Amino acid sequence: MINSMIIGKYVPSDSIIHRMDPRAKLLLVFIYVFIVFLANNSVTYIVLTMFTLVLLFLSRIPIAFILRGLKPILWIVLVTFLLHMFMTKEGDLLYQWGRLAIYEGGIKQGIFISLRFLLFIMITTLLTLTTTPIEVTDGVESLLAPLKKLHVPVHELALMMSISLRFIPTLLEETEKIMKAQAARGVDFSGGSFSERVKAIVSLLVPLFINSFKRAEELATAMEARGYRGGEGRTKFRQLTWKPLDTFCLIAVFVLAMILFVLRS
Amino acid sequence: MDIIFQQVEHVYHANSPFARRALYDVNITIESGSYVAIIGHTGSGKSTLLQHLNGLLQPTNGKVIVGEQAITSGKRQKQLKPLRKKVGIVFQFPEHQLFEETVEKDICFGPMNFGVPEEEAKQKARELLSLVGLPEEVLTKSPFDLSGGQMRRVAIAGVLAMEPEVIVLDEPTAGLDPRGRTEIMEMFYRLHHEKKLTTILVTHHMEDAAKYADHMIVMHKGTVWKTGTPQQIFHDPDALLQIGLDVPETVLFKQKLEKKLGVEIPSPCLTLEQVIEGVEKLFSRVNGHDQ
Repeated sequence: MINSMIIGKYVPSDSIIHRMDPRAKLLLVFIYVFIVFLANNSVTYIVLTMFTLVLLFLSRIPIAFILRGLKPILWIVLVTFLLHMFMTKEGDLLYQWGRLAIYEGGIKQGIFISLRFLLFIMITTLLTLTTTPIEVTDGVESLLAPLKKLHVPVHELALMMSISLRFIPTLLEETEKIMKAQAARGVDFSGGSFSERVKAIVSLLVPLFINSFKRAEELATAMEARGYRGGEGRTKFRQLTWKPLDTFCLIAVFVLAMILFVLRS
Repeated sequence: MDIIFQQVEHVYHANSPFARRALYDVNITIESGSYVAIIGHTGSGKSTLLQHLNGLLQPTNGKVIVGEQAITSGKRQKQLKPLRKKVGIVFQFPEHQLFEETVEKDICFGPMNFGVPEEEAKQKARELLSLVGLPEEVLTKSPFDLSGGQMRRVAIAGVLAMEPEVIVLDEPTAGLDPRGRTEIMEMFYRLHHEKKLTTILVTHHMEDAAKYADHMIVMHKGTVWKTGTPQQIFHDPDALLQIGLDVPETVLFKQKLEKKLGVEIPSPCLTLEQVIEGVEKLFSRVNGHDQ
Protein backbone atom coordinates (compact mmCIF):
# COMPACT_ATOMS: atom_id res chain seq x y z
CA MET A 1 0.00 0.00 0.00
CA ILE A 2 2.70 2.42 1.09
CA ASN A 3 4.97 1.60 -1.81
CA SER A 4 2.46 2.23 -4.53
CA MET A 5 2.14 5.83 -3.41
CA ILE A 6 4.51 7.52 -5.77
CA ILE A 7 3.01 10.97 -5.57
CA GLY A 8 5.43 13.03 -3.55
CA LYS A 9 8.39 10.76 -4.06
CA TYR A 10 11.49 12.51 -5.35
CA VAL A 11 13.67 10.70 -7.89
CA PRO A 12 17.15 12.22 -7.91
CA SER A 13 18.76 12.89 -11.28
CA ASP A 14 20.55 15.67 -13.11
CA SER A 15 18.17 16.35 -15.97
CA ILE A 16 17.17 19.76 -17.34
CA ILE A 17 13.89 19.53 -15.48
CA HIS A 18 15.62 18.69 -12.22
CA ARG A 19 17.91 21.68 -12.61
CA MET A 20 15.08 24.14 -13.20
CA ASP A 21 14.32 26.70 -10.55
CA PRO A 22 11.45 25.37 -8.40
CA ARG A 23 9.65 28.70 -8.86
CA ALA A 24 9.73 28.22 -12.62
CA LYS A 25 8.40 24.69 -12.25
CA LEU A 26 5.62 25.78 -9.94
CA LEU A 27 4.61 28.57 -12.32
CA LEU A 28 4.79 26.18 -15.23
CA VAL A 29 2.49 23.70 -13.57
CA PHE A 30 0.16 26.51 -12.47
CA ILE A 31 -0.18 27.91 -15.99
CA TYR A 32 -0.39 24.42 -17.47
CA VAL A 33 -3.38 23.59 -15.30
CA PHE A 34 -5.23 26.50 -16.89
CA ILE A 35 -4.25 25.95 -20.49
CA VAL A 36 -5.29 22.32 -20.36
CA PHE A 37 -8.81 23.71 -20.53
CA LEU A 38 -8.01 25.48 -23.80
CA ALA A 39 -7.81 22.17 -25.62
CA ASN A 40 -11.14 21.11 -27.09
CA ASN A 41 -10.42 19.20 -30.28
CA SER A 42 -8.15 16.45 -31.54
CA VAL A 43 -5.40 18.75 -32.80
CA THR A 44 -5.11 20.73 -29.56
CA TYR A 45 -5.09 17.57 -27.47
CA ILE A 46 -2.34 16.11 -29.63
CA VAL A 47 -0.25 19.28 -29.24
CA LEU A 48 -0.79 19.29 -25.48
CA THR A 49 0.10 15.61 -25.13
CA MET A 50 3.23 16.08 -27.24
CA PHE A 51 4.34 18.98 -25.03
CA THR A 52 3.81 16.90 -21.88
CA LEU A 53 5.64 13.90 -23.30
CA VAL A 54 8.60 16.10 -24.25
CA LEU A 55 8.76 17.31 -20.64
CA LEU A 56 8.63 13.72 -19.40
CA PHE A 57 11.36 12.77 -21.82
CA LEU A 58 13.55 15.68 -20.71
CA SER A 59 13.18 14.68 -17.06
CA ARG A 60 14.87 11.31 -17.84
CA ILE A 61 12.57 9.61 -15.35
CA PRO A 62 11.83 6.02 -16.36
CA ILE A 63 8.36 5.89 -17.90
CA ALA A 64 7.54 2.87 -15.73
CA PHE A 65 7.88 5.10 -12.68
CA ILE A 66 5.29 7.54 -13.95
CA LEU A 67 2.90 4.80 -15.03
CA ARG A 68 3.12 3.27 -11.58
CA GLY A 69 2.20 6.66 -10.14
CA LEU A 70 -0.86 6.78 -12.37
CA LYS A 71 -2.06 3.36 -11.28
CA PRO A 72 -3.99 4.42 -8.15
CA ILE A 73 -6.08 6.97 -10.08
CA LEU A 74 -6.65 4.71 -13.08
CA TRP A 75 -10.10 3.65 -11.94
CA ILE A 76 -11.19 7.26 -11.47
CA VAL A 77 -10.12 7.92 -15.05
CA LEU A 78 -12.01 4.85 -16.17
CA VAL A 79 -15.20 5.89 -14.40
CA THR A 80 -14.90 9.38 -15.91
CA PHE A 81 -14.48 7.83 -19.32
CA LEU A 82 -17.50 5.55 -18.97
CA LEU A 83 -19.69 8.33 -17.58
CA HIS A 84 -18.90 10.61 -20.48
CA MET A 85 -19.25 7.83 -22.99
CA PHE A 86 -22.76 6.95 -21.89
CA MET A 87 -24.03 10.41 -20.95
CA THR A 88 -23.02 12.41 -24.01
CA LYS A 89 -25.60 12.16 -26.77
CA GLU A 90 -23.95 13.87 -29.72
CA GLY A 91 -22.92 12.84 -33.21
CA ASP A 92 -23.73 9.54 -34.87
CA LEU A 93 -25.26 6.67 -32.95
CA LEU A 94 -22.68 3.88 -32.89
CA TYR A 95 -24.25 1.20 -30.77
CA GLN A 96 -27.48 0.63 -28.98
CA TRP A 97 -28.25 -1.99 -26.39
CA GLY A 98 -31.54 -1.49 -24.62
CA ARG A 99 -31.43 1.92 -23.00
CA LEU A 100 -27.67 2.14 -23.26
CA ALA A 101 -26.58 4.05 -26.29
CA ILE A 102 -23.11 5.01 -27.35
CA TYR A 103 -22.67 8.00 -29.61
CA GLU A 104 -19.57 9.07 -31.48
CA GLY A 105 -19.48 12.31 -29.52
CA GLY A 106 -19.58 10.33 -26.29
CA ILE A 107 -16.48 8.35 -27.10
CA LYS A 108 -14.69 11.50 -28.17
CA GLN A 109 -15.71 13.37 -25.04
CA GLY A 110 -14.77 10.40 -22.86
CA ILE A 111 -11.30 10.22 -24.35
CA PHE A 112 -10.79 13.98 -24.09
CA ILE A 113 -11.84 14.26 -20.48
CA SER A 114 -9.85 11.24 -19.28
CA LEU A 115 -6.85 12.48 -21.23
CA ARG A 116 -7.18 15.85 -19.54
CA PHE A 117 -7.22 14.05 -16.22
CA LEU A 118 -4.15 11.98 -17.05
CA LEU A 119 -2.23 15.03 -18.25
CA PHE A 120 -3.04 16.86 -15.02
CA ILE A 121 -1.74 14.04 -12.89
CA MET A 122 1.29 13.50 -15.09
CA ILE A 123 2.44 17.10 -14.87
CA THR A 124 1.97 17.33 -11.11
CA THR A 125 3.66 13.96 -10.61
CA LEU A 126 6.48 15.24 -12.75
CA LEU A 127 6.83 18.23 -10.44
CA THR A 128 7.13 16.13 -7.28
CA LEU A 129 9.33 13.51 -8.95
CA THR A 130 11.87 16.12 -10.03
CA THR A 131 11.69 18.57 -7.13
CA THR A 132 12.54 17.88 -3.51
CA PRO A 133 9.90 18.90 -0.96
CA ILE A 134 12.33 21.49 0.40
CA GLU A 135 12.67 23.07 -3.03
CA VAL A 136 8.91 23.13 -3.43
CA THR A 137 8.39 24.93 -0.12
CA ASP A 138 11.24 27.35 -0.83
CA GLY A 139 9.65 28.04 -4.19
CA VAL A 140 6.19 28.58 -2.71
CA GLU A 141 7.58 30.87 -0.04
CA SER A 142 9.46 32.93 -2.59
CA LEU A 143 6.52 33.16 -4.99
CA LEU A 144 4.12 34.20 -2.26
CA ALA A 145 6.55 36.71 -0.72
CA PRO A 146 4.67 39.74 -2.12
CA LEU A 147 1.67 38.73 -0.01
CA LYS A 148 3.67 39.55 3.12
CA LYS A 149 2.73 43.17 2.50
CA LEU A 150 -0.88 42.11 3.03
CA HIS A 151 0.14 40.51 6.35
CA VAL A 152 -0.25 36.98 5.04
CA PRO A 153 2.05 34.75 7.18
CA VAL A 154 3.89 33.38 4.15
CA HIS A 155 6.91 32.04 6.00
CA GLU A 156 4.77 30.26 8.56
CA LEU A 157 2.62 28.69 5.85
CA ALA A 158 5.70 27.43 4.03
CA LEU A 159 7.08 26.06 7.27
CA MET A 160 3.83 24.26 8.00
CA MET A 161 3.94 22.77 4.56
CA SER A 162 7.49 21.50 4.89
CA ILE A 163 6.86 20.10 8.37
CA SER A 164 3.81 18.18 7.23
CA LEU A 165 5.68 16.81 4.21
CA ARG A 166 8.55 15.83 6.45
CA PHE A 167 6.31 13.84 8.78
CA ILE A 168 4.37 11.83 6.21
CA PRO A 169 6.86 8.93 6.25
CA THR A 170 7.11 9.09 10.05
CA LEU A 171 3.35 8.83 10.37
CA LEU A 172 3.17 5.92 7.95
CA GLU A 173 5.85 4.11 9.90
CA GLU A 174 4.07 4.74 13.16
CA THR A 175 0.74 3.60 11.73
CA GLU A 176 2.33 0.32 10.78
CA LYS A 177 3.86 -0.09 14.23
CA ILE A 178 0.61 0.57 16.09
CA MET A 179 -1.36 -1.67 13.75
CA LYS A 180 1.05 -4.47 14.54
CA ALA A 181 0.84 -3.89 18.28
CA GLN A 182 -2.96 -3.94 18.16
CA ALA A 183 -3.02 -6.97 15.85
CA ALA A 184 -0.93 -8.75 18.48
CA ARG A 185 -3.73 -7.93 20.94
CA GLY A 186 -6.26 -9.64 18.71
CA VAL A 187 -7.48 -6.78 16.52
CA ASP A 188 -8.41 -7.85 13.02
CA PHE A 189 -7.89 -4.94 10.65
CA SER A 190 -8.99 -6.80 7.55
CA GLY A 191 -12.40 -8.10 8.53
CA GLY A 192 -15.10 -8.37 11.13
CA SER A 193 -18.45 -6.73 11.71
CA PHE A 194 -19.01 -2.98 11.39
CA SER A 195 -18.68 -2.30 15.14
CA GLU A 196 -15.51 -4.41 15.29
CA ARG A 197 -14.08 -2.40 12.44
CA VAL A 198 -14.89 0.88 14.15
CA LYS A 199 -13.21 -0.36 17.30
CA ALA A 200 -10.17 -1.42 15.30
CA ILE A 201 -9.86 2.01 13.71
CA VAL A 202 -10.27 3.73 17.09
CA SER A 203 -7.49 1.60 18.55
CA LEU A 204 -5.26 2.87 15.76
CA LEU A 205 -6.31 6.52 15.57
CA VAL A 206 -6.21 7.40 19.26
CA PRO A 207 -2.56 6.43 19.78
CA LEU A 208 -1.66 7.99 16.45
CA PHE A 209 -3.21 11.34 17.40
CA ILE A 210 -1.75 11.35 20.90
CA ASN A 211 1.73 10.61 19.63
CA SER A 212 1.43 13.28 16.94
CA PHE A 213 0.44 15.94 19.46
CA LYS A 214 3.31 14.92 21.70
CA ARG A 215 5.71 15.06 18.80
CA ALA A 216 4.44 18.47 17.71
CA GLU A 217 5.09 19.85 21.16
CA GLU A 218 8.55 18.34 21.30
CA LEU A 219 9.34 19.72 17.88
CA ALA A 220 8.22 23.19 18.90
CA THR A 221 10.39 23.07 22.00
CA ALA A 222 13.37 21.79 20.03
CA MET A 223 12.97 24.58 17.47
CA GLU A 224 12.78 27.23 20.14
CA ALA A 225 15.79 25.75 21.90
CA ARG A 226 17.70 26.23 18.66
CA GLY A 227 16.69 29.86 18.46
CA TYR A 228 13.86 29.74 15.96
CA ARG A 229 11.67 32.83 16.08
CA GLY A 230 9.85 33.04 12.77
CA GLY A 231 10.96 34.24 9.37
CA GLU A 232 11.96 37.77 10.41
CA GLY A 233 15.56 38.43 9.40
CA ARG A 234 16.19 34.78 8.63
CA THR A 235 18.74 34.08 5.91
CA LYS A 236 18.71 31.04 3.67
CA PHE A 237 21.35 28.41 3.11
CA ARG A 238 19.83 27.34 -0.21
CA GLN A 239 19.52 30.29 -2.56
CA LEU A 240 17.17 30.02 -5.49
CA THR A 241 18.69 31.22 -8.75
CA TRP A 242 16.64 32.07 -11.80
CA LYS A 243 18.49 30.92 -14.92
CA PRO A 244 17.91 31.65 -18.64
CA LEU A 245 16.61 28.09 -18.91
CA ASP A 246 13.75 28.97 -16.56
CA THR A 247 12.76 32.00 -18.59
CA PHE A 248 12.90 29.87 -21.71
CA CYS A 249 10.60 27.24 -20.24
CA LEU A 250 8.06 29.83 -19.20
CA ILE A 251 8.13 31.37 -22.68
CA ALA A 252 7.58 27.87 -24.08
CA VAL A 253 4.44 27.48 -21.98
CA PHE A 254 3.11 30.82 -23.18
CA VAL A 255 3.81 29.86 -26.78
CA LEU A 256 1.96 26.61 -26.14
CA ALA A 257 -0.98 28.56 -24.77
CA MET A 258 -1.01 30.71 -27.88
CA ILE A 259 -0.86 27.72 -30.21
CA LEU A 260 -3.73 26.10 -28.35
CA PHE A 261 -5.72 29.31 -28.50
CA VAL A 262 -5.29 29.51 -32.28
CA LEU A 263 -5.99 25.85 -32.96
CA ARG A 264 -8.99 25.38 -30.67
CA SER A 265 -12.39 25.24 -32.30
CA MET B 1 4.39 -25.43 22.95
CA ASP B 2 7.66 -25.58 21.05
CA ILE B 3 8.55 -23.03 18.41
CA ILE B 4 10.60 -24.20 15.45
CA PHE B 5 12.05 -22.14 12.61
CA GLN B 6 13.04 -24.10 9.51
CA GLN B 7 15.12 -22.36 6.84
CA VAL B 8 13.22 -19.15 7.43
CA GLU B 9 13.87 -16.29 5.09
CA HIS B 10 12.15 -12.91 4.99
CA VAL B 11 12.48 -10.36 2.22
CA TYR B 12 10.77 -7.00 2.68
CA HIS B 13 9.02 -5.60 -0.42
CA ALA B 14 9.82 -8.76 -2.35
CA ASN B 15 9.80 -8.41 -6.14
CA SER B 16 10.22 -4.65 -6.12
CA PRO B 17 13.21 -2.37 -6.54
CA PHE B 18 13.10 -1.79 -2.78
CA ALA B 19 13.53 -5.48 -1.91
CA ARG B 20 15.66 -6.03 1.17
CA ARG B 21 16.53 -9.36 2.70
CA ALA B 22 16.17 -9.02 6.45
CA LEU B 23 16.41 -12.67 7.44
CA TYR B 24 17.82 -15.81 5.86
CA ASP B 25 18.63 -19.39 6.70
CA VAL B 26 17.25 -19.18 10.23
CA ASN B 27 16.96 -22.55 11.96
CA ILE B 28 16.14 -22.38 15.63
CA THR B 29 14.15 -24.29 18.22
CA ILE B 30 12.65 -22.64 21.26
CA GLU B 31 11.53 -25.21 23.75
CA SER B 32 8.37 -24.92 25.75
CA GLY B 33 8.98 -23.39 29.16
CA SER B 34 12.40 -22.00 28.38
CA TYR B 35 13.73 -18.46 28.78
CA VAL B 36 15.47 -17.44 25.59
CA ALA B 37 17.35 -14.22 24.99
CA ILE B 38 17.82 -12.96 21.44
CA ILE B 39 20.66 -10.52 21.09
CA GLY B 40 22.13 -8.76 18.10
CA HIS B 41 23.16 -5.44 16.69
CA THR B 42 20.58 -2.95 15.39
CA GLY B 43 19.48 -4.21 11.98
CA SER B 44 20.57 -7.78 12.64
CA GLY B 45 17.04 -9.07 12.04
CA LYS B 46 15.83 -9.42 15.64
CA SER B 47 12.62 -7.46 15.14
CA THR B 48 11.80 -9.25 11.91
CA LEU B 49 12.41 -12.55 13.64
CA LEU B 50 10.10 -11.82 16.54
CA GLN B 51 7.26 -10.72 14.28
CA HIS B 52 7.29 -14.21 12.80
CA LEU B 53 6.45 -15.68 16.19
CA ASN B 54 2.76 -14.77 16.00
CA GLY B 55 2.28 -14.43 12.29
CA LEU B 56 2.52 -10.63 12.03
CA LEU B 57 5.00 -11.41 9.29
CA GLN B 58 5.05 -14.54 7.20
CA PRO B 59 8.30 -16.05 6.01
CA THR B 60 8.94 -15.48 2.30
CA ASN B 61 10.60 -18.87 2.36
CA GLY B 62 10.78 -21.69 4.85
CA LYS B 63 8.51 -22.55 7.73
CA VAL B 64 7.70 -21.40 11.24
CA ILE B 65 6.03 -23.98 13.45
CA VAL B 66 4.36 -22.77 16.64
CA GLY B 67 2.86 -25.67 18.55
CA GLU B 68 0.46 -27.32 16.13
CA GLN B 69 0.38 -24.50 13.64
CA ALA B 70 2.74 -24.05 10.71
CA ILE B 71 3.18 -20.68 9.05
CA THR B 72 4.59 -20.68 5.57
CA SER B 73 4.88 -18.20 2.75
CA GLY B 74 2.12 -17.58 0.29
CA LYS B 75 -1.45 -16.60 0.88
CA ARG B 76 -2.56 -14.77 3.97
CA GLN B 77 -3.64 -17.27 6.59
CA LYS B 78 -7.03 -16.72 8.13
CA GLN B 79 -6.41 -18.73 11.25
CA LEU B 80 -3.86 -16.45 12.87
CA LYS B 81 -6.07 -15.29 15.72
CA PRO B 82 -5.68 -18.36 17.95
CA LEU B 83 -1.94 -18.10 17.40
CA ARG B 84 -1.95 -14.47 18.49
CA LYS B 85 -3.68 -15.42 21.71
CA LYS B 86 -1.04 -18.02 22.46
CA VAL B 87 1.91 -15.76 21.68
CA GLY B 88 1.76 -12.35 23.33
CA ILE B 89 4.18 -9.68 22.17
CA VAL B 90 5.20 -6.71 24.26
CA PHE B 91 6.57 -4.34 21.65
CA GLN B 92 9.15 -1.64 22.23
CA PHE B 93 7.52 1.31 23.98
CA PRO B 94 4.24 -0.60 24.45
CA GLU B 95 2.66 2.49 26.06
CA HIS B 96 2.19 3.78 22.50
CA GLN B 97 -0.59 1.25 21.98
CA LEU B 98 -2.82 2.48 24.84
CA PHE B 99 -6.04 4.07 23.64
CA GLU B 100 -8.98 3.36 25.95
CA GLU B 101 -10.61 5.83 28.36
CA THR B 102 -9.69 3.86 31.45
CA VAL B 103 -6.84 1.59 32.43
CA GLU B 104 -9.33 -1.19 33.16
CA LYS B 105 -10.83 -1.05 29.67
CA ASP B 106 -7.41 -1.04 28.07
CA ILE B 107 -6.25 -4.12 29.95
CA CYS B 108 -9.53 -5.89 29.09
CA PHE B 109 -9.21 -4.99 25.40
CA GLY B 110 -6.90 -7.90 24.49
CA PRO B 111 -8.75 -10.70 26.29
CA MET B 112 -12.15 -9.46 25.06
CA ASN B 113 -10.87 -9.52 21.49
CA PHE B 114 -10.27 -13.20 22.06
CA GLY B 115 -13.77 -13.78 23.38
CA VAL B 116 -13.23 -13.63 27.13
CA PRO B 117 -16.43 -12.41 28.88
CA GLU B 118 -16.28 -8.90 30.30
CA GLU B 119 -16.60 -9.88 33.98
CA GLU B 120 -13.79 -12.38 33.73
CA ALA B 121 -11.60 -9.88 31.91
CA LYS B 122 -12.21 -7.26 34.61
CA GLN B 123 -11.30 -9.77 37.29
CA LYS B 124 -8.13 -10.53 35.37
CA ALA B 125 -7.32 -6.82 35.04
CA ARG B 126 -7.49 -6.38 38.80
CA GLU B 127 -5.13 -9.31 39.42
CA LEU B 128 -2.65 -8.19 36.82
CA LEU B 129 -2.51 -4.64 38.07
CA SER B 130 -1.07 -5.80 41.37
CA LEU B 131 1.23 -8.19 39.55
CA VAL B 132 2.79 -5.36 37.54
CA GLY B 133 3.03 -3.31 40.72
CA LEU B 134 0.29 -0.70 40.36
CA PRO B 135 -2.30 0.27 42.98
CA GLU B 136 -5.92 -0.67 42.32
CA GLU B 137 -7.22 2.92 42.16
CA VAL B 138 -5.40 3.30 38.86
CA LEU B 139 -8.07 1.12 37.23
CA THR B 140 -10.56 3.93 36.76
CA LYS B 141 -7.99 6.51 35.64
CA SER B 142 -7.25 7.43 32.07
CA PRO B 143 -4.02 5.76 30.96
CA PHE B 144 -2.86 9.12 29.61
CA ASP B 145 -2.85 10.65 33.10
CA LEU B 146 -0.22 8.18 34.27
CA SER B 147 3.54 8.57 34.26
CA GLY B 148 5.63 6.94 31.51
CA GLY B 149 6.68 4.06 33.74
CA GLN B 150 3.12 3.42 34.90
CA MET B 151 1.85 3.48 31.32
CA ARG B 152 4.46 0.87 30.43
CA ARG B 153 3.17 -1.36 33.22
CA VAL B 154 -0.43 -0.98 32.10
CA ALA B 155 0.53 -1.92 28.55
CA ILE B 156 2.39 -4.97 29.79
CA ALA B 157 -0.64 -5.96 31.89
CA GLY B 158 -2.74 -5.63 28.72
CA VAL B 159 -0.62 -8.25 26.97
CA LEU B 160 -0.40 -10.57 29.99
CA ALA B 161 -4.20 -10.40 30.34
CA MET B 162 -4.53 -12.48 27.17
CA GLU B 163 -2.92 -15.31 29.17
CA PRO B 164 -0.47 -16.22 26.44
CA GLU B 165 1.59 -19.41 26.60
CA VAL B 166 4.56 -17.62 25.14
CA ILE B 167 5.53 -14.06 25.91
CA VAL B 168 7.83 -12.12 23.62
CA LEU B 169 9.51 -9.04 25.08
CA ASP B 170 11.13 -6.52 22.74
CA GLU B 171 13.38 -4.31 24.88
CA PRO B 172 10.73 -4.15 27.60
CA THR B 173 12.73 -1.80 29.82
CA ALA B 174 13.98 0.73 27.24
CA GLY B 175 13.79 4.22 28.70
CA LEU B 176 12.97 3.16 32.25
CA ASP B 177 14.95 4.15 35.33
CA PRO B 178 17.22 1.52 36.90
CA ARG B 179 14.76 0.60 39.62
CA GLY B 180 11.86 0.22 37.19
CA ARG B 181 14.09 -1.91 34.97
CA THR B 182 14.93 -4.35 37.74
CA GLU B 183 11.34 -4.53 38.95
CA ILE B 184 9.98 -5.35 35.50
CA MET B 185 12.69 -7.85 34.67
CA GLU B 186 12.22 -9.58 38.03
CA MET B 187 8.46 -9.70 37.47
CA PHE B 188 8.86 -11.43 34.11
CA TYR B 189 11.34 -13.84 35.60
CA ARG B 190 8.91 -14.69 38.40
CA LEU B 191 6.14 -15.30 35.86
CA HIS B 192 8.43 -17.50 33.84
CA HIS B 193 9.41 -19.43 36.91
CA GLU B 194 6.00 -19.81 38.54
CA LYS B 195 3.78 -20.32 35.52
CA LYS B 196 6.34 -21.99 33.27
CA LEU B 197 5.67 -19.19 30.77
CA THR B 198 7.93 -19.53 27.74
CA THR B 199 9.74 -16.20 27.61
CA ILE B 200 11.59 -14.72 24.67
CA LEU B 201 13.56 -11.59 25.46
CA VAL B 202 15.01 -9.36 22.76
CA THR B 203 17.55 -7.08 24.35
CA HIS B 204 20.69 -5.01 24.06
CA HIS B 205 21.38 -5.54 27.72
CA MET B 206 23.86 -8.34 28.01
CA GLU B 207 23.61 -8.30 31.80
CA ASP B 208 19.90 -9.14 31.56
CA ALA B 209 20.52 -11.87 29.00
CA ALA B 210 23.26 -13.39 31.15
CA LYS B 211 21.22 -13.18 34.32
CA TYR B 212 17.84 -14.50 33.22
CA ALA B 213 18.12 -16.56 30.05
CA ASP B 214 18.87 -20.23 29.95
CA HIS B 215 19.41 -20.16 26.21
CA MET B 216 20.67 -17.46 23.88
CA ILE B 217 20.40 -16.76 20.17
CA VAL B 218 22.88 -14.32 18.68
CA MET B 219 21.77 -12.68 15.43
CA HIS B 220 24.19 -11.09 13.00
CA LYS B 221 23.43 -9.59 9.59
CA GLY B 222 20.11 -11.35 9.18
CA THR B 223 20.97 -14.81 10.29
CA VAL B 224 21.77 -16.84 13.40
CA TRP B 225 25.41 -16.37 14.31
CA LYS B 226 25.52 -18.60 17.36
CA THR B 227 23.21 -20.28 19.84
CA GLY B 228 23.90 -21.77 23.23
CA THR B 229 23.70 -21.20 26.95
CA PRO B 230 24.87 -17.80 28.22
CA GLN B 231 27.95 -19.57 29.50
CA GLN B 232 28.81 -20.84 26.04
CA ILE B 233 28.00 -17.55 24.34
CA PHE B 234 30.05 -15.38 26.70
CA HIS B 235 32.90 -17.87 26.84
CA ASP B 236 34.56 -16.04 23.95
CA PRO B 237 33.98 -12.33 24.62
CA ASP B 238 36.32 -11.17 21.84
CA ALA B 239 34.23 -12.77 19.12
CA LEU B 240 31.13 -10.98 20.40
CA LEU B 241 32.93 -7.67 20.61
CA GLN B 242 34.10 -8.16 17.05
CA ILE B 243 30.55 -8.31 15.67
CA GLY B 244 29.73 -5.14 17.55
CA LEU B 245 28.04 -6.62 20.61
CA ASP B 246 28.67 -5.99 24.25
CA VAL B 247 29.47 -8.52 26.92
CA PRO B 248 28.52 -8.22 30.58
CA GLU B 249 30.94 -6.14 32.60
CA THR B 250 31.49 -9.09 34.89
CA VAL B 251 32.81 -11.14 31.98
CA LEU B 252 35.15 -8.31 30.97
CA PHE B 253 36.34 -8.08 34.56
CA LYS B 254 37.06 -11.78 34.63
CA GLN B 255 38.95 -11.54 31.37
CA LYS B 256 41.12 -8.66 32.61
CA LEU B 257 41.81 -10.31 35.93
CA GLU B 258 42.82 -13.55 34.26
CA LYS B 259 45.18 -11.70 31.95
CA LYS B 260 46.75 -9.71 34.78
CA LEU B 261 47.25 -12.60 37.17
CA GLY B 262 47.94 -15.22 34.53
CA VAL B 263 45.46 -17.63 36.07
CA GLU B 264 42.17 -19.08 35.01
CA ILE B 265 38.98 -18.50 36.97
CA PRO B 266 36.74 -21.55 36.71
CA SER B 267 33.50 -19.67 37.45
CA PRO B 268 31.58 -18.41 34.35
CA CYS B 269 31.24 -14.97 36.02
CA LEU B 270 27.94 -14.03 34.38
CA THR B 271 26.61 -12.28 37.47
CA LEU B 272 28.16 -10.34 40.30
CA GLU B 273 27.55 -13.27 42.67
CA GLN B 274 29.46 -15.61 40.42
CA VAL B 275 32.35 -13.16 40.21
CA ILE B 276 32.55 -12.98 43.99
CA GLU B 277 32.43 -16.73 44.17
CA GLY B 278 35.14 -17.10 41.51
CA VAL B 279 37.45 -14.56 43.11
CA GLU B 280 36.97 -16.11 46.55
CA LYS B 281 37.88 -19.54 45.21
CA LEU B 282 40.89 -18.06 43.47
CA PHE B 283 42.21 -16.46 46.64
CA SER B 284 41.60 -19.46 48.83
CA ARG B 285 43.59 -21.51 46.30
CA VAL B 286 46.41 -18.95 46.28
CA ASN B 287 46.42 -18.86 50.07
CA GLY B 288 46.47 -22.62 50.14
CA HIS B 289 49.64 -22.67 48.04
CA ASP B 290 51.32 -20.14 50.27
CA GLN B 291 50.90 -22.17 53.40
